[in-house]
Amino acid sequence: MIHEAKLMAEQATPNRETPLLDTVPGALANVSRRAMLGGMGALVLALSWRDPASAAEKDEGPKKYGADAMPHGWQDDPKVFVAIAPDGTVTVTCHRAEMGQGVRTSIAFVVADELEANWDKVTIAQAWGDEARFGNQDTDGSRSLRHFFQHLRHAGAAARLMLVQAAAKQWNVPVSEVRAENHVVTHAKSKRSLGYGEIAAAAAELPVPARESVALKESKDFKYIGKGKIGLIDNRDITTGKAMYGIDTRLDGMLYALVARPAVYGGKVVSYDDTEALKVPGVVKIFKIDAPEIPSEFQPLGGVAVIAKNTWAAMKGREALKITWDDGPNAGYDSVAFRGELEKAARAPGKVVRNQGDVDGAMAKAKTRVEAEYFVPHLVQAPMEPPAATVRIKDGFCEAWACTQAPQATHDRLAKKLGLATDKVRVNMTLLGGGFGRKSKPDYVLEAALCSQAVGGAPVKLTWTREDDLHHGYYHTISVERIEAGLDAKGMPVAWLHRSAAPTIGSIFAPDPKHELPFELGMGLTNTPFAVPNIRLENPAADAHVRIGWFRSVSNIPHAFAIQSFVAELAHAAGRDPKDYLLDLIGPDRKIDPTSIGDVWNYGEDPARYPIETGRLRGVIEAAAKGIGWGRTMAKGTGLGIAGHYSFVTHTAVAAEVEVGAKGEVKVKRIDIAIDCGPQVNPERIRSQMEGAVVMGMGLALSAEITFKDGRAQQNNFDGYEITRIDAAPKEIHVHLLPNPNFSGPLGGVGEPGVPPVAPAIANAVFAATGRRIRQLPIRDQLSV
Amino acid sequence: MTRHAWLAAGLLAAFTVPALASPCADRLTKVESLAKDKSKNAISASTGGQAGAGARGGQGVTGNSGAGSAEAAAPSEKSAEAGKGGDLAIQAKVALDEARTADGKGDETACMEALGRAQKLLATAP
Repeated sequence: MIHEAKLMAEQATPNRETPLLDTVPGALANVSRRAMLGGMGALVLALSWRDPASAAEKDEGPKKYGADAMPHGWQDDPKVFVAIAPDGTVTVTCHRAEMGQGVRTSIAFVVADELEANWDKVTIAQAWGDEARFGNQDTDGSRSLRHFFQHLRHAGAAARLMLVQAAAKQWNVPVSEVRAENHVVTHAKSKRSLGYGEIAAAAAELPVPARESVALKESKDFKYIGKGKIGLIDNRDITTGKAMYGIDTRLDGMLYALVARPAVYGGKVVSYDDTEALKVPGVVKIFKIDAPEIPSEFQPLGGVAVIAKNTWAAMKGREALKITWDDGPNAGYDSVAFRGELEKAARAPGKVVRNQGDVDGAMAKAKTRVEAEYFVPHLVQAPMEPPAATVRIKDGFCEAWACTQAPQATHDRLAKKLGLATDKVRVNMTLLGGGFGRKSKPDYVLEAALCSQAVGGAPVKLTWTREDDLHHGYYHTISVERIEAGLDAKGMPVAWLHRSAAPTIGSIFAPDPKHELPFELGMGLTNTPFAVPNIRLENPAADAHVRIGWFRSVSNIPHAFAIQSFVAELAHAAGRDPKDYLLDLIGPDRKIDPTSIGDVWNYGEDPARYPIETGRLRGVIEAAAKGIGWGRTMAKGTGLGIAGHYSFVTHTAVAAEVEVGAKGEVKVKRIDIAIDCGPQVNPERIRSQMEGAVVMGMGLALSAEITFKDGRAQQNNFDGYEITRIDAAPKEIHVHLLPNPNFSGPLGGVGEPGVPPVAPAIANAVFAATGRRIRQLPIRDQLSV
Repeated sequence: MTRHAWLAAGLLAAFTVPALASPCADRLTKVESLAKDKSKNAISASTGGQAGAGARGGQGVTGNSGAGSAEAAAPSEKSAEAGKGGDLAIQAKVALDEARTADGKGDETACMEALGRAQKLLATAP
């Protein structure tokens, strides 16, 4: 019954086929507003637009960083992002994927602020995948606002200037005498004014002003930026069930599909018998999807697809299939045994990736030595909405509706897979019910396309079940981190040797790479900013046996867990306060050029504009410590722990208060998380992201783990893969935003940096509460004996 | 000390310091500058969405591309060569740090050996 009710709700919800202005994208978003715009024949600014500023166009030298260096660069053309209807409704186009981080809201109010638009008259439209038009759309790497804040400000300001110019022209007065404020252009001398809707058509006829002629607001004049007063624009729809996610897409005549995929990475279908499956009422078609060669990149894993008249029939049909599999080369993968291999690798010399000073010499002379190994298991992103996509191929044109973080990559792969010209494909971006890196891979959209193709182009919605998501994911790597330190008489390190052994993400792109890639090493390993004279970092070889992918904050998770736990161990060995010891290890305030310590990643940002600033790291650690009341007397069985970490060009620290019960159960009572991400465009969303990061970080600290046996993931659903549940969430999460009013300065990332310090802070708090050191995640029942 | 004596000491220092620096140390400074430049190249080339960055990195390190990657739409202008650059820059930096340490110990031979290794790596880095 529930399923039927849902279907009815889907049927009642308009989809993208609702008439819309060609220039106002809006797949599945705010339909009533868009329909109204269409009905009124809105005169919009978006008549023509200029190409995004790619690296080639703005060739200021051989090196490009940040948004300049991204595929298709950035865009700041107001005609791309702003449309104004005759009734004054301003529609801002969001070209990034919304997955709960609030980017639709932030982008809209950044543009609206510079435009001097009244927020009550602003609505948002969702772009489709078209980077040639919108600039880069890869919504990953914590960089939507980092890369687009200034450009979107410019788009809004340019639109405001065009409105002013149009009014000045109409009134025959100098532009300098006309002012745009709160949705109205005014000529004070003549006491004339026009609403934005009244002048928009004339403004749209004007050329876009040259960039250098557009003046941005001073930050003191901001109305929305940095104020934290605007809630999530989609909040009401989300909380009332009206929001349309990828899995909610519904088209006329749509069929439904599931795929039976090989349980082992690299497995193939030997044969299959669909006799019984075809007897299931509603099953329409069953066909084989060829397995890709390994490494499979973002390609579907192959298997047998079942297409039916409803999802339930597709599920039952899939259950009835009889498939003989060849499990392939990873059939023997056992993640518990593999941990032993990683430990062995980490106990022997590996590929050196940073070698400062003379570690061996200093280690030999050290007064004492401390060593420890840390383990982090495979994880899976497990977004609440599993991967889902709908594809229709009609008259040689493929249209997809997908919850994707990477619409352009999806677009390009669809074209290639179907043998279509790129202008014969369109990818509509729906809301994402979480992404965390999983939905940057378009394999599920390609599966949907193959299904549609198999039924003559009819629309097919391909759904992954929760079990599919856990069994066939792009898993977070598995790692063993071994750290050894030689200490001086004061207990401070004079030598630091860290070996990080983990299968690399590169293994899904190239055959048999044994070592982590520079971007993985640059996530909290090579760029460790400690004031230690002798440092050697090594990366022993490690094979990959599953698809390794990006999980929110990626390699920062194992690196931060190991390093921040080890620092607390050193503090204990030295009889020091962990927070004071950590600050001493970070050393005096300084700006470190990441390249000077062997980091050739730096999140793609200019090392001169984005140095590692130890003073800011110190600042967040002190803020978190102050927030939680560091140093206060703790009751028996409770303790405080702290960790700080630099990631995604942002500094973050977490202080945790835990209580460990008589049976070893860990209760996180309070978390204080401090972040210095530069200027804060949307403080409300930063707080939200930090809270979400705490909850996600708690999950991987306490309970989440994917294990493999015989090449197969052992967890099926949230009963086995335990993320943080509401009764386990801390009663108090306090977010501390370190102020930075310089809105011309560099922005740091926000989406991911909150995660890495959570687990080590909790583990350190457990030690403070119990005297037992946590060296492997998740903590689960380690304290129960 | 008189003003003349300070001047004499200063001049002496000015002329003796370069003479004390080893040939390896002199070359090190120049090569370190080149390495920094290559590192910046690697940063510049490494940015991108996950598909592009991962493919470049993986293929750059191994020199191979997988079958699946052949279907990838990673920007060709930043192909495996860019990924290769990051790893080479790291290895060059490691060698230079070794050279710097050897120089600090007065081991000219080890310094020159590590320096040569770094130069060779940098010569092949994009």
